[in-house]
Amino acid sequence: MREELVKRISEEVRKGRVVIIHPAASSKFKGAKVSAIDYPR
Amino acid sequence: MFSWMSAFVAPFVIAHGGSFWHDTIALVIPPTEIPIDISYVPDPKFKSLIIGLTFGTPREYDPSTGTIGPELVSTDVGIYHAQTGYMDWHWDPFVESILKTNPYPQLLWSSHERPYQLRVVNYTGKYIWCEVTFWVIKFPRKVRCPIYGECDPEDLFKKYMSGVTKFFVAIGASEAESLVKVFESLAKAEGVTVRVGEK
Repeated sequence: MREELVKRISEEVRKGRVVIIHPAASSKFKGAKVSAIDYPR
Repeated sequence: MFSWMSAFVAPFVIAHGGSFWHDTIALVIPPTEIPIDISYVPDPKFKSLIIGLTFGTPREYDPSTGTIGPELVSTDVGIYHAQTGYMDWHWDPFVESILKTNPYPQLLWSSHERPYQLRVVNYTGKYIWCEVTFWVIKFPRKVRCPIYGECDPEDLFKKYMSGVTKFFVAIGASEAESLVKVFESLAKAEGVTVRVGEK
């Protein structure tokens, strides 16, 4: 997994947020404690 | 995937411009004492018929290195899910009978205005990596029907499935002679003359 992706996931899950990874994650997945990462693009 | 799909749903999909689709996501779930709500919001340009949800193997995850570790099977982690009007909230723990089987289909209409709802629970104390695939058929927001005109595909699908049921109930309640008449009238409607039993 790419280093920048690992770092981003780490930052978000340590805040107690679920991370969702998908090329269009931000437009498809919503939630107060959800972090969507649009990857890969 | 399911035999009923090709028998009854596929003709509706082909006739009304549906397209098969799926969204496959990776989820990283932190340990949490409070369940986390997620809405899966289909593309606003379409009405979506969700036909199933499948889970990959959940695994431990190390956020400091990004390492995906050993398989994790536990009743302490899983997903509640629901779809307004179609499926009540219920618990899918990450255990083998959920992860390795696919016993029933879902036929849940979802849209931008009425998203599919998930609630993640993770009491394991561990970070978890898993994947989920949403199996979907996307329809235009309006479809043409020769009987009802332009309609919402969700409404038309309900009428269609109701018609399938009525047809088979009628068959179950009918004598052979009346069934022959049904098939003869169907053939006539297509401009074909058929006499069942005649050569």
